[in-house]
Amino acid sequence: MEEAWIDRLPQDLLQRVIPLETPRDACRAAAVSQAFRAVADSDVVWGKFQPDDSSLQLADGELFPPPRSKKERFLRLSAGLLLLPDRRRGMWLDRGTGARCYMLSARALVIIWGDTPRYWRWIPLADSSRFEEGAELIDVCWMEIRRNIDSRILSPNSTYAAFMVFKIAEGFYGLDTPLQEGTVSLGGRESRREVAFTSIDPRPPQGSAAYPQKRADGWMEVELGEFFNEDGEDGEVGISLMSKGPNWKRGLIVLGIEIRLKEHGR
Amino acid sequence: MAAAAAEATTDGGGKMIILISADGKRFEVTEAVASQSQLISNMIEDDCTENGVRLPNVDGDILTMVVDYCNMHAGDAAAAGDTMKASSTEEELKKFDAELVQALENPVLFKLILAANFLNIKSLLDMTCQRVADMMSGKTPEQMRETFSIENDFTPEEEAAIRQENAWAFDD
Repeated sequence: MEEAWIDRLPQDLLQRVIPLETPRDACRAAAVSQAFRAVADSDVVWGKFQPDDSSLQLADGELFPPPRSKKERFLRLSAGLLLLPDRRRGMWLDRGTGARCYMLSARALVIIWGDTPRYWRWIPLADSSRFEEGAELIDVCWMEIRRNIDSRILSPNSTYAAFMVFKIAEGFYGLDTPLQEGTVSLGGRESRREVAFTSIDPRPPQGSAAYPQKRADGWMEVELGEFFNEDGEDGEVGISLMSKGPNWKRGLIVLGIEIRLKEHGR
Repeated sequence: MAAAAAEATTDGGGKMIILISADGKRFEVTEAVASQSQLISNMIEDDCTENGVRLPNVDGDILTMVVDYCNMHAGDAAAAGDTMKASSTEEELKKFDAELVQALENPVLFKLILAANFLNIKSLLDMTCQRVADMMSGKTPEQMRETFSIENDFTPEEEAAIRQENAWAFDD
């Protein structure tokens, strides 16, 4: 066997190398050798894959009991949705890459006519979601749901997609006739597409419309659009769903909008 | 690249410094080129480069690469003096850097990392560490061991436990 040169790389240099990789690669590196494991499981390495306590505020009890290591903390932050202090928004880390992902519940969105009970009503969701309430569309002509977020809360050099997470209530109508329009914008670039809520994906797909998919948590989702968050870009990401037709619509139950990693790259 | 010894005179206005490798090879470079090493930059400030800078843990082959790199990147540091060569364009630099790291074999890459660390040349250290990270990326532990000639010093039980603990990273 030739000289195991990397074994002689001092630990502090291996500590520089491993955080340049993804959390997935770091976990695999832990299985290479004792020396690799000592670095690949260390707090120094895992601290670099996650926001620290000063830049990540969670609702009380979300990270209880306190993690015993940075690696454990990362695994818990990437295990599922954790609520932010207002309990109307949540976040998690993409496990493979460490990218920050968010979910904004209906109460954290701007829903036009949302506070007028003849058009929308608020329903309890405690048994089907981590959020307390969702918004159910009773009847509107003009459907508009939107929210802007600061792009700096997202991870740089990453492509994200925004999804509307929803269910369809009994007796729905008008949601896909015509299809609605999803828009996602950042720094002058805009992605715009037709979105369907109650239609089944025609195969082969016709045009560029997005169709609903079933989620593991029992909800449905449809992609509103995607955007590339460049390195150090600061700006607002605008996300919206708007009706395209003047017809009346009913039966959309909105859990929220999820913004999650689509593709990670340097 | 100047490998021969010369009197430390000026060349186009910049003061010259002599670097001496572990195996006694001498390299004459301008202060601006040498200052990309934080270590040498500090020595210049402290006025202790008069008789040449001995680098007892950097071989001539490796120092050749470091000097090439620093010559190429001297334009990055502001006061390059009026050397005959206009500073390289960003594209040329990128091409040079990419070719440099791509061409490196394991032990040489390793020595270059140690040299960049010792001389404290941050951009070169970042670049070479990134290269190692890229070589590890997406590989299984077996492939990483093979790439870097590392011996597996876990017992089968230990290895099974580590894989179990990190199971999510292995399913793809």
